[in-house]
Amino acid sequence: MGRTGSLMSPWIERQAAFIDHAVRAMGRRRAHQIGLWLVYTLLVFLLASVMLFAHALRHEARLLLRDAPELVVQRLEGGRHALLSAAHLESLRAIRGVGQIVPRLWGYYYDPISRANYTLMTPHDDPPPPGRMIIGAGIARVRGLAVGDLFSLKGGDGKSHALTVHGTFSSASELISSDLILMHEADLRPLLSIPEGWYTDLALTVAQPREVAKVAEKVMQRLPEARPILRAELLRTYHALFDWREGILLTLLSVVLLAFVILVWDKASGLGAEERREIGILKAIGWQTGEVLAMKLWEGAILSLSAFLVGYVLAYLHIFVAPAPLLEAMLKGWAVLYPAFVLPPRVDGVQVLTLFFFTVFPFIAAMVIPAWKAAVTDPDAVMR
Amino acid sequence: MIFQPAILALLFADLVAILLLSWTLVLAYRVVRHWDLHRSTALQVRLERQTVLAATLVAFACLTQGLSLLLLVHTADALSELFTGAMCAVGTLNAAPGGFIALDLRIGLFFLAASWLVVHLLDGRCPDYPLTRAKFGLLLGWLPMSILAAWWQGFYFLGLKSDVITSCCGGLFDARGASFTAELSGWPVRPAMWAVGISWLAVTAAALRVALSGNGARLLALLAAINLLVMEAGVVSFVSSYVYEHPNHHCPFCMLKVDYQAIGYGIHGPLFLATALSLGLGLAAQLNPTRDIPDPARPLARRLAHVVLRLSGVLALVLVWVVQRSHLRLME
Repeated sequence: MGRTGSLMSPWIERQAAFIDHAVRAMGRRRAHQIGLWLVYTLLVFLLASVMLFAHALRHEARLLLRDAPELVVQRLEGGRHALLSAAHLESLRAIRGVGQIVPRLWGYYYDPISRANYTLMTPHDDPPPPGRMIIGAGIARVRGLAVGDLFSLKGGDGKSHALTVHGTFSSASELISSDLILMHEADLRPLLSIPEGWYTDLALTVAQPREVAKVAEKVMQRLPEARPILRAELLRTYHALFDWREGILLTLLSVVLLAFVILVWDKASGLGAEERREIGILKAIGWQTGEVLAMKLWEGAILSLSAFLVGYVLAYLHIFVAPAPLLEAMLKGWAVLYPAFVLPPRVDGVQVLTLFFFTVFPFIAAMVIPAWKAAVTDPDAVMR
Repeated sequence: MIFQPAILALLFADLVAILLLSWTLVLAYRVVRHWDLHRSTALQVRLERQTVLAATLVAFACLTQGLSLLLLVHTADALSELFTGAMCAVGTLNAAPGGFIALDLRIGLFFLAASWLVVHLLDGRCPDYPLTRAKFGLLLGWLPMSILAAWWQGFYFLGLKSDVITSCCGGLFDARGASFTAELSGWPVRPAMWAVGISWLAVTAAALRVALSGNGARLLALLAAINLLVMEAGVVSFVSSYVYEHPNHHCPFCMLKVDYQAIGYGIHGPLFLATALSLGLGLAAQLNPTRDIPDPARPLARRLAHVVLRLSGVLALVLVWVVQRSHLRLME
């Protein structure tokens, strides 16, 4: 161990000396480097923001869907969503492997004043008392409602139904509750014109998660007009959607990256008189081409790694502290009642590696050939 | 599926590596044809200068190939969430034609790149550069292989469709099947353990010999190559069962998941690195006209053999730890 350690140290000392020299050389050419560094940092910031944001959204979707039912059964009529009756529910009870079947009552309500759609729902457990409702923070915000206020909704029967605000959801759950109104079954049915004994859809729990697909198949046999929706499918759809948006943005930003690489090449190719003199002196005092090349590469590595680090930290702050003002509309989508939420910080090692591939690799690749051209300069040609 | 960030990064990295290697191709040809250190012609001086650059570019491409393998395996694992029926990287690699060939080519490139780097390091220690012509000759074969791997990987990724129902490791590594992987899964535990133990001992002894004397690099490379195959067979046969604590779960990819402490990286990391270093040492000896490591490079070769020894030690510790902590008992 000691032997190898003692043999390794000259190499490390040598590299440390290169780094030291590179840092001093860069310090002497501050003005030349700072512009490049700023553009580089901005580029890493943009790319990292896209990746961090998409990753956090994917994670959030996964967490939200964790509590969703494994299987939801809807009925189609003429290819459109239709109501299910108690008889339909009974026909599914006999399927082996199905645990609980919860009939769900919900629907959408368009509010012409706020020009937004609300989701009306009757919770299966512990619904609000008749004549009262619990509203999401988004609705409370756009309609200026507080607990105790009366809120009138126009029902499918043409009449106005005034309900008292019984409570509001906390902002912590805003991602799922922003546009939500919970009310008693007796209030919801006339509002959405759902007759007694009919439901919007059915939520099924399946005892053995591996059997979900089989149960869905059996549901289709018993109710050919049914559309089973698997939780895993929902999750996959979200995953694919965010991946796709992220990929499109990254592809667009790659064009910017290419322009940057060309800029780096151009900058690195055009050696200043001062830099030429410096390389000439180094070679005159005995530096080899490989050593000058190593020193120039260390310059590139220091510049790119510091820009990478600063850009990544700025992106982290942008996404998780300033809730992503630059990317929100593009990656999250858009709606009148869009929930205000802060994403919990998530950093993935492979994501950092991916970003590294996108930014540091092309930069160093663009540096190598101009650095070599500088390194093979004849000292006498420069010194003369 | 092509718009996955990790897929874009992989394609991008391939493009960079191919561009760098292409730049060195003409030089590689010239070195093979005209390299002669004893002549002081203008061409020779130019070649000597250019080989410094080319070696840097190729070293950079090597690094890209190494990281690409890691990223490909992890991406395949992460994408398994998108395919019905996929539980791990096997499902993703099965979801489109050419997945496993893309992975095999990537693994091949990793060993080629790492071996080339070792040869290059050893060559740099010798004043007469005895391996230069041969190592640049290798580049002529490396570029077509890189292009093939990139093309195959691109073809595979373009073929990935999210609505595909794929089959996963349960089918591929089922001991009751008739395929080669099924045969491996069904390999009885006791002989498999003996084979893994003997193979490990043989490589360790060969590495010790190189570390002490600098001799026997070609034997080390041969044993390391055999050891890689035996270890992989052992992982499928019994290590996997200990990791998952299930006698019929033989997948070598599921253990890359965080659910199993990503122990797969702890096993394959030291194994691949030790094999790559050993292959590099053997290749350097093979390329040298004396069929052994050149004298000035021996101190470095011995240090690299020390690293192989350490990596083998880490691998053994990880394997023992996996078997020790498991609640599964495959033998009385």
